[in-house]
Amino acid sequence: MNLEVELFGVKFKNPVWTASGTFGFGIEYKDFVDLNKIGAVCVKGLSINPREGNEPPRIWETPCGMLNAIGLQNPGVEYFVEKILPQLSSYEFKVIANIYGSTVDEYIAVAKTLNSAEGVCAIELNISCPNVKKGGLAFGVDPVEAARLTEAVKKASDKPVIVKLSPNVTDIVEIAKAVESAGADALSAINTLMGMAIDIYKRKPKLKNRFGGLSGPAIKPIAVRMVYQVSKAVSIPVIGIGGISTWQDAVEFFLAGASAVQVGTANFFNPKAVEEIVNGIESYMEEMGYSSVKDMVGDLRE
Amino acid sequence: MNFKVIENKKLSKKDFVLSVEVDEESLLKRIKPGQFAMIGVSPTQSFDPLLKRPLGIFNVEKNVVSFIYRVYGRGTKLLTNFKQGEEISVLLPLGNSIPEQFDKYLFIAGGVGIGGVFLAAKTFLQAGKDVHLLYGEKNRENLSALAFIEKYKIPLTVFTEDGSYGKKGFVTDGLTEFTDRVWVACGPIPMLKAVKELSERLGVKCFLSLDTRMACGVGACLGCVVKTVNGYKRCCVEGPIFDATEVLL
Ligand SMILES: Cc1cc2nc3c(=O)[nH]c(=O)nc-3n(C[C@H](O)[C@H](O)[C@H](O)COP(=O)(O)O)c2cc1C
Ligand code: FES
Repeated sequence: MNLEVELFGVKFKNPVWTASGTFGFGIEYKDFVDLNKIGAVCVKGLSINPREGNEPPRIWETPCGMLNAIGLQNPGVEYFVEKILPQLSSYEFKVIANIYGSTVDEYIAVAKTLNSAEGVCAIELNISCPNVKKGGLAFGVDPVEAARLTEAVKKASDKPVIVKLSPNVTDIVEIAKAVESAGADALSAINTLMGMAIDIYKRKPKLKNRFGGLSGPAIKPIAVRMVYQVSKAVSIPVIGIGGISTWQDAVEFFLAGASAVQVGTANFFNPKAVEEIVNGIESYMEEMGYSSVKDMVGDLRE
Repeated sequence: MNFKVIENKKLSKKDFVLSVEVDEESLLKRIKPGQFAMIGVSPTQSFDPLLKRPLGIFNVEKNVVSFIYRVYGRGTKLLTNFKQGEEISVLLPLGNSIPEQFDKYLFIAGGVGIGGVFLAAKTFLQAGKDVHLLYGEKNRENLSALAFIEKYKIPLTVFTEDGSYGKKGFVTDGLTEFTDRVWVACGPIPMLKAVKELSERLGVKCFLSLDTRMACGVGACLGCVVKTVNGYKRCCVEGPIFDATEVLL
């Protein structure tokens, strides 16, 4: 069965990718996973300058999920292009560069640095980051700011631009429409949901950063709902993310309207998750009589 | 990777030894003393608890790899449910290892911290190195690894807090006798802090085996970082073994 998909002018061998921040740069898993089974790797969020990240503890396990406050630790986009990207060229997966900044100019600078990086097929804008110029409110919660950022990055970049939506908003559809009009080539949804956990004996937050992003199976129903709403409202491809751990989960997202999916937290507890999901989708498509992934996208009987 | 459980045996009130069969020769060959594994604690497919748990590789004998664990929380409690013959999901070997280039070692184990240094003590002794082990516990009942240590004839001094076995006191009380060796310590943070301070004061080369919360165990999530004089380092890749002068505890 052919699982190939073509999105924003790029051909992917399959629609099952790894989500940013959950699969490093791909090579971390090389001893445990057949990396060539993966359609694309969205690398850890890159910024213009290297970033140390937050003070530990950075993670906390919750029922069917986890909180993380990594603080976007990364070696910087230049180091990525010069030192890491060349190591990825021997694998078949496509590389998507997840980027972020604390000002529009920082995003632009990262996007421009990536223009010369041949091995990068697209960039994914993480708009869940605090906008320093707007008092730290995330770019992704304000349709005007989100659109302004998308437009600026589109102008600066030669690559297709995927905008990764934050679920921590009142109306995700409004943001989705705004970034679509600003020129986004695709959307991905969702990023983590802001959460908190407390140690009741120490009477302190479990995470040093106080709040962290909730991910894993616990968030899947929210993600499916948001992907459904967004894909109904826009005409660009939507990439589904959020708690996907099995092929059945992935199929839910396709039926909800996702053109591809990203697997995040599941990589941690099952490094073979992507491979298993790819195989499962293949059998499902055979069983249900789908001849291409495209036919399954949004094929919900209501 | 899935492995067959050979045994999952209670050693004392709260301590267990879990042994799994690893038939892949290449994997076994890669295991070095001081490394760890990520272990799926649910015998049945379940998302709660979600994450694997890191455990030090306690021993390797032929194709059997074992771990010592103490039941602290829900994860380790679930782990006790594994029965002989069942499959368990384990990633291994992970992390760096205990440097092997020295001739004389003092291993310092606090409680189940023995799981992080036992294999090194055993292997280095078999390689003809001069090895001594300090093993500290609250009381005699908790000295779960004693039988293993005796089996491999590892030179040993035991400390119990209540004096019910060996010397009365803390392992750290025994350190000053061994300033002519490289120290390698694994145990609770207060113990590691004390060992680090003393090694620095006495100018003894010292390595610490650290234990942090982990999600991936392979360097991908950046959730496990340890503060060091050179910035944050991943406990699962640059560690779990750190030069004591490098880490900020
Ligand atoms: C440890 C960790 C680090 C993450 N880092 C990033 C990041 O750097 N950039 C980003 O856009 N999303 C990041 N995410 C969010 C994931 O890419 C994904 O959107 C989210 O975890 C939901 O998917 P999941 O439930 O499958 O994990 C991170 C998630 C986790 C758990
Ligand atoms: S546990 Fe994920 S980087 Fe160490």
